[in-house]
Amino acid sequence: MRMNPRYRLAGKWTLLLVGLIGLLACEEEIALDLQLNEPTVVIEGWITDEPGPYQFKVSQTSDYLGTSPEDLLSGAELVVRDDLGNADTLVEVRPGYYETNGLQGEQFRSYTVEATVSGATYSASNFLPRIGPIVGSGSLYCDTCVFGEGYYVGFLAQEPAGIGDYYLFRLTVNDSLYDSPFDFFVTDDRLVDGQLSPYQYPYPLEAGDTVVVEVRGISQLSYDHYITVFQQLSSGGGPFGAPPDNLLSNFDNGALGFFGTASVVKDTVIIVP
Amino acid sequence: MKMPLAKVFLLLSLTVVTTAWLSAQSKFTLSGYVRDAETGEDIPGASVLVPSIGQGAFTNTYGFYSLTLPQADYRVVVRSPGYPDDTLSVALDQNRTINVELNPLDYQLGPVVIEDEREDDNISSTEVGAEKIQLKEIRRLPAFMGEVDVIRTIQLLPGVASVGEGITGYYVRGGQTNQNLVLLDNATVYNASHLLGFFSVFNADALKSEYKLYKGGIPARYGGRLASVLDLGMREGNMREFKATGGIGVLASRLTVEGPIAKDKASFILSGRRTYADLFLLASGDPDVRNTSLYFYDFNAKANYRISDRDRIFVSGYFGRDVFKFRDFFANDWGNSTGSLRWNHLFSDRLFSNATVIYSDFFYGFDGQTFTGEGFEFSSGIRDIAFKYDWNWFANPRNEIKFGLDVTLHKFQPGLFEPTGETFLQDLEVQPDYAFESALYLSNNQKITDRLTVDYGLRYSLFDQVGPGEEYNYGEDGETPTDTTQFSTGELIQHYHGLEPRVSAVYLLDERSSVKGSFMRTRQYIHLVSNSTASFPWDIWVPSSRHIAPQISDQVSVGYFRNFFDNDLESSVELYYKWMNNQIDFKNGAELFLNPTIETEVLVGEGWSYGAEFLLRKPRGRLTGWLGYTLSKTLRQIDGINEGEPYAANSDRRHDISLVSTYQLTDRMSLGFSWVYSTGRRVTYPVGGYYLDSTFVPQYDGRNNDRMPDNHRLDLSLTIDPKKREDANQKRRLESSWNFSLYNAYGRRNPFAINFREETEERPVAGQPGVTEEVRVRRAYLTYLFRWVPSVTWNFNF
Repeated sequence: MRMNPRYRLAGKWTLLLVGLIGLLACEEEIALDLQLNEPTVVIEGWITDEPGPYQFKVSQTSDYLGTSPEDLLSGAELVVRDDLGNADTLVEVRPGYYETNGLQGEQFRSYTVEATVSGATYSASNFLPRIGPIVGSGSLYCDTCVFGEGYYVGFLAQEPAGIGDYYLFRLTVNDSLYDSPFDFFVTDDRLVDGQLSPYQYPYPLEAGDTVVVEVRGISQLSYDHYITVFQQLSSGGGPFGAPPDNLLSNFDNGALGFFGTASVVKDTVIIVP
Repeated sequence: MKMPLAKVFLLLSLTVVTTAWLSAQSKFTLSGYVRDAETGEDIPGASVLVPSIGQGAFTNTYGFYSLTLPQADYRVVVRSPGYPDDTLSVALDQNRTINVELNPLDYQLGPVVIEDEREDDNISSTEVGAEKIQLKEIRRLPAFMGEVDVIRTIQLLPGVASVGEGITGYYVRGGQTNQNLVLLDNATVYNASHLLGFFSVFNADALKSEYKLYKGGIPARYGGRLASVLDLGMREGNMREFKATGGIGVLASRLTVEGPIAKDKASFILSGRRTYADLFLLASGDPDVRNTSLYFYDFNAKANYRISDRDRIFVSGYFGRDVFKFRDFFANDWGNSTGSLRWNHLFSDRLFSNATVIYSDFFYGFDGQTFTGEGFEFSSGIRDIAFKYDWNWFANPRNEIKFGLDVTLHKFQPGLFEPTGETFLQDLEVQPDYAFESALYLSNNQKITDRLTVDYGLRYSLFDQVGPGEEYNYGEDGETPTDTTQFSTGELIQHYHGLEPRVSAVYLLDERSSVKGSFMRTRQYIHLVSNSTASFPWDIWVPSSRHIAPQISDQVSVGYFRNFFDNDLESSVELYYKWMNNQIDFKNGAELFLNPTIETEVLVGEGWSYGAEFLLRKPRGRLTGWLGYTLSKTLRQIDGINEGEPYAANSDRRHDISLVSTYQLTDRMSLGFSWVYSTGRRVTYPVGGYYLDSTFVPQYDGRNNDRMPDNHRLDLSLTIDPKKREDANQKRRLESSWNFSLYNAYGRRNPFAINFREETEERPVAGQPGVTEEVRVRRAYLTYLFRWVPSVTWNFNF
């Protein structure tokens, strides 16, 4: 995977820096008194051009430290509308989880979700952009690679001509999605515009693994959201980090979370020795 | 400013010229240089006093003084710290040039110096908010990893706070780190730190013995930064004999050689330093660590030539680099280079001039490869070429006039990404920006009465961003580029200008006490783009442009100074209030790297800071040192941050205490001691959290609402000096001294960072023995560095 080089620089740097400081640094747990004054509503969901239904989650914030579980909210009303005027009312399938009812996401459409939670209404919009095809995929054995010895999977994709495309890369290995904030890579097309470009994921894998490589075409808004995920969740709390701030949310009325839209291409690689 | 600028200048100069002319009747001028008798080097800041009439002058940066007095016979006392006084008898019946040589005080003569008249510099000087530091003094203080560091010493002064534990970045009176101007032989040093801030770029062996930090009341001849000026000079080199000095420490070694090129005419000095911290990495069992290199080095070089008593030229340069390599995957280097060529010329024995041509460059480079093996190079930086012409006119003992001009051409290189070899990657360059920064200044240090002295001046600064370049135009939201405008080479893109009045005054209440006051306005036309608290070497500078306005600051300060016990104990209280406009911060999630439309990520607001600084200082005796205390508050208000409400700035430190002392145990041994305390750094802690997909994510409410635990630390040192030479003419041999330092002597866990993590652990289920469940727990962790860091340094000279 070739993620945006600027994050490769900063990421690697921070990693090594922390490592070197680590030679002198020590760490210990401290007790802090952090108070949550009032919970905030959190809404999260994605519409893609893959077949539905699409799932949304409604919850509220809880204490940061400690073990408090996720505080899911039942009884919310959610409606998704597209820019042609079609509306889809969501159904609560289990507490806090809501699903669309027949809606099919399409490229070049804008979508709006409107959620009513305990009498307050929150809404967010996003645009579902285009994506180019994956042309081929495969794996390669490497014993001198920086992330360790093993099989590395990659693919070749045709980037559509014209600046302004943004991508999110995901990876599923043996049916399990790599879903930590460090595993999501985003990039734009400024270095590869219109090119047939190779990508490789930075994980050494094993022979026999079944791997699904996935690229999502996302809007600039979604890209900006992931930049805040990267900046906030993978940089330390020291004087070198960006100032702490909430992740970018596109909901109005103060709700946290994110409403995303994506066009998806996938390919499956079975690693053979 | 309604008054035309030319008029203001004219008015100022007329006042000065008239007073000078009126008082210049039947008087003669005594002028010359004050030099060190052993090395022949100039002594700046020495006082040349005429006690009988209570007048005097200081030597300037180049050791030149000039005094114009009525015809008479005078007893003249020449005095500088570290030298016994020299007294001359002068029959001033014509203009006289007298070069004075002072014999350095041998420390072995004993710590107690007998002086008939004690210095009261601190109460009589018009400098408000200026701190003078003697290198000799800091050599006896504890040194972190054995490296004598001028910037670490600055952090011990009232009004100056450290960015974070162990880091050499500093805040002055609530300003940002990038609002500090650091000059080395007149050249700007853009990034004054090595190893990400744990060391400063200055090799103490190559520096002049005295340097100054201005926190307020900055003289009109300095400009370009909002908060402070640190003015450092490189030594000229011994004019009389060849010498080598050096040191071997746990972290770095240094070597300096110097000597005459032509005795008393020309000399040179060469100085180098290299760290070998990475050698420790070789001991690591991890091949990744073993194949990592991380070191820095720097060189200083200077030569000067006295063409005649009226003309002298200096050429000096600095080159420093940090290098960071990780296996074959990447190589990284960054650093400053500066060069200056200076010409001192005496137009008359009262008019001194200095012309300087300056080169200054900060470079950051990264050679790496993408994971698919595509090689690339990235570079960024800033480069200046500047010319300064400064004049010093010793009109009469009551007026000393300084005027001059400077012009700088900046080239800003925000980022260049170049793939190497055969590749599908494309080049990406954020276009360079060009700008001229210029200024004219005039100031007068006027002794109005025997009690009242005022230093007043005016600086007029201009900034012109010029082509070539392609400038983005933005739509109504100020964010979406609509089209671009092309500018050809030299074509004006944006112009800014403004006046910067600078006034400071001292009023002597009696022989032991004075009150001082100052006002200054400063403008900063270039901005550092960084959203971390500490600075990274890849932080980039950008000019004021069509979208980013210059920063402007006003500061007033008042102080009361009083000496006790015959000037053996100095004390002062200073109060300041400071306004800062057009302060820059960045949006949440701002992308600052390789971003051609960086101005769309900027948020603009204002800041203000106020505080009280208390200082008690004992300059002489077996026991020397100071106790400083600062009480201050710094706030910022920026739309888009903290919901537009004022918040505590990163530089906010409520309490800051430094107790610094050296004690001469015996003729050869001295103890150094420093204890610091400061209120914890401002931070933002989460107030709550939520699951985004399956990741627990913090929720924040506002900016900098919390504080880290307080910082405090004790450092100790023991310095052993060489044996005393029995008589001064004895042939030189190797002399050596030892410095043993212990950093953080009581092992305080000073917070460097606080991180939050979610962990999964197995916990027994209540009521079901033997059954466990997975529980996700969030905890806070404190990271601390440097507990008990001992070091030993062996210094030598021959």
